[in-house]
Amino acid sequence: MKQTWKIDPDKCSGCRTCEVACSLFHQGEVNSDKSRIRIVKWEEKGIDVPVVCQHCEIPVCMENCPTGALRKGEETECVVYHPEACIGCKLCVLTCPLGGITQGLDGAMLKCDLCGGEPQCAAFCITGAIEYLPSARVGEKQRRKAARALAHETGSNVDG
Amino acid sequence: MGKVSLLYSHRLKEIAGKAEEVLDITAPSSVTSIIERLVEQHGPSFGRELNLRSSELGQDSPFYLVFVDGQKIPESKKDALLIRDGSNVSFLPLISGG
Amino acid sequence: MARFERNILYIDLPSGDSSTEELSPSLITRFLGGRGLNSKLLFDHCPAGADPLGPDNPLIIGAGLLTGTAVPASSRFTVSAKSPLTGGLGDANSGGFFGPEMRFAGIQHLVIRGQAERPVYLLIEDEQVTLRDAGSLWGQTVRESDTAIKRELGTDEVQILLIGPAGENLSPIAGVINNLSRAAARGGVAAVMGSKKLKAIVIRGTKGSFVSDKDKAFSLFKEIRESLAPDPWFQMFSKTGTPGLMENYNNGLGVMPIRNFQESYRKESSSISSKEFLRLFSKKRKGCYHCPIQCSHFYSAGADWNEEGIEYESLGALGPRCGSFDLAVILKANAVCNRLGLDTIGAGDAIGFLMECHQRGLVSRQDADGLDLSWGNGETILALLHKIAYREGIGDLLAEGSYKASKKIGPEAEKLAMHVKGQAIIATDPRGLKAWGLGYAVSSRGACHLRALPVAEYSASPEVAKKLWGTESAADRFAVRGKGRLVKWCEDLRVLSDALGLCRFFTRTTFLFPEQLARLIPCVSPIEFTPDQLSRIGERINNIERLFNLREGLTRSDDTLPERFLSEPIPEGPSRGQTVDLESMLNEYYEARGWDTETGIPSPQKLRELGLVEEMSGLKQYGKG
Repeated sequence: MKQTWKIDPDKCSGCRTCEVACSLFHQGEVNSDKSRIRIVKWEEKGIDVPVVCQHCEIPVCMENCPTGALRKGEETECVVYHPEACIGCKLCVLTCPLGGITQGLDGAMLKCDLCGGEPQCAAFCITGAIEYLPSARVGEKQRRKAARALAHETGSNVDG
Repeated sequence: MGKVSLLYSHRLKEIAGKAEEVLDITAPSSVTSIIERLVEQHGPSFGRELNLRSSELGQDSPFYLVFVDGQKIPESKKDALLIRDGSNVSFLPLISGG
Repeated sequence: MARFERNILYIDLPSGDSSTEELSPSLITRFLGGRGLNSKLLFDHCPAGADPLGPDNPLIIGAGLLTGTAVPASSRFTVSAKSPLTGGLGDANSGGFFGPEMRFAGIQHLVIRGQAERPVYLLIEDEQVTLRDAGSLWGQTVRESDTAIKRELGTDEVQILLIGPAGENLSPIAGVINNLSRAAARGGVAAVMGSKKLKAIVIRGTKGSFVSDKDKAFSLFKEIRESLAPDPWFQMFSKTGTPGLMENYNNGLGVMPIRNFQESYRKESSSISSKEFLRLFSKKRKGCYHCPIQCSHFYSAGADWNEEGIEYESLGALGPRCGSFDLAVILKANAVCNRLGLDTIGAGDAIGFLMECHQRGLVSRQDADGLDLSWGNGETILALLHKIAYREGIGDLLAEGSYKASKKIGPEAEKLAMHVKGQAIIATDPRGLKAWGLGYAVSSRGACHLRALPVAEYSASPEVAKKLWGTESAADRFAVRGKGRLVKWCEDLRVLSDALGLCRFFTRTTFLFPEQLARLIPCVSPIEFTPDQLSRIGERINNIERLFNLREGLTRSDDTLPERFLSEPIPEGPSRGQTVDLESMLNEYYEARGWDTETGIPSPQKLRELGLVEEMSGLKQYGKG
């Protein structure tokens, strides 16, 4: 079954532990500028949003890459970055609609590779704002969240 | 014969459904015996909550401290007959800070 | 790969000249970082007798040794200076994300000397240091300037430390604010920043922080998570945050200050309970950098009142202390303090003091620009906060804090100022917690519960008390024996959190001890420490802070408490009838510390033991040795 992200900004506390876990796992240091997941904040509104590559079905980055440095895995849903083929044109950065790929400090692109199947950001996210789940479960959770709100509106006591 | 005032807080209050109550006693009682009666009254989840352990100064400790008339009763004195007519007993979770 | 970089950045105003020095291993091994190293740097760089609001008083900002590293709950940093509030050591500690960004820029300590001629702000981007004009920012609230600076620089990805109008107007009860609502607010450090015409410090760091062993870091991470998860303390605290303490301090212990400490207990207080806060105002949880506890909240108290918070201290200071049990008003007042850059504790204290003065006929409505000074008047509380920040009318008097204000009103008013050494006492009545009273009296920065935080006074078992502090009565909150030893013990341990930059809620019990703290260090530092070394460092820091205060002329007579606590019994509640018998506790504390009982001066032997001989010789110069 396909796995996918479930990102919930309402649960995100803005602690940036995901950035610590990601940079630690991939780069052996703690550095937000080397993290493939980033938290975007509107502090005065208390809004915190995790932003990370969503491994699109039709990856715009891959479509635009002139050298094939971005390829979708055959059996996995992961869009993998191959730095050895990258020329640094940054078309991927400019065309990704999600802000999911950026150029890192050393020139290579920074992009999520799902940590080989067990994303560390999700493993260490303490609020559950970042989850990596079978797609069906993501759909189910989203439906439940919306349904709960609807039920409350119509007077049903979901939590009674 | 006598009456004891009990004070609950945090999750204990939620489980008991009230912040305070009064208990009748027929003789000076121990913390242990009072708790036994409260568990009978409020159910096993009340008992489980009171049995929670945490750590204090790196040592295992009950999560809820028991105070009788403002004085903390250590675990070693749980069976002493310290609760009398007019006593105030409170259960305080071990949270602290400033 | 990130290097282990620990620099001191010196900045001279008005020129803006800067120099970077690598921290010597000796300074690190003697003082670690954060508050500890700040105090040492302050001792070295602040000339005795310096005017706290003059050019010679250095403003020192220190990240902890572990701040911004892979160690969880490592967000904290300390701001230090000679205090315009106490005339002695002043410091304040904050969380959020400013400290970690210092680490990412390779800086552990910032020492800012001199004063600018016109308002400026500092911009630090890794090695690049620039002084920028802050003319258009001066006079703005914290929020306005945060937005303006980010717009000017074209980026949101900077961390900003700001003063608001209160700091600009040199109020010693002003606070320095980061991340809009994280406050380093005690000790008058914001007034020092204001005296330097320094509106803000902006940092962007890209160097990351060093990790020596990635696998060890991850396994420590997991171990900490696993030990916290089942702990009911963690579960409760991460849900309610510090507002959850209200029930403990009020209903349980009867030590919550009401109406300027005239009472300490109110039976009906559910209107300001954490339950009400969560139900009506909290929107979501917030957490500091890399924190597993995340005790903070984001709340809404109305259309323009969306804020992170609230802390118990602020709740107490702006609420019951001023006679208010209206949570909506308290939450607004908290927001106002953040935006104006005011210490909630100092401000609540000043307002509560004024209200009691009015109650006792010492101050009239006319004196207070016509405001209704009856207890709990929310409009008055909000109006007074503005007046204090802008030094308008009666605000000019209150902006100095309750102690200095009381001296201008008269001797009857002086009895009503709830302070130690000029700093406002916090929201826990020491008459019901004697060791806390001792802690307030001896704290190096004036009234402070965090130096010692002797919770063990009511949480430890008699057996542990006897073993650690020589007597079972150390675990009896109403007793005085054993409290001197208890407070020293606590102070020496708790300071390590401040020097390492770890959150107190993380180190509170298990990670309090040097054995556990020593385990956190190796995976992020090539310099390691034994537990004994750490114990020694804790004691050393407390002693150098004492030396600083002695050099500034503070003596045993300043280690005291307001008369109310010494002679007026608490009228009602679980701590009814109690007062503080300070003298015997003080004697025991000085003895435990190895300080002369009469003068409070550390013995030469103690200073030799701690390797503070050089610092001691500096003291002799001023006739204090």
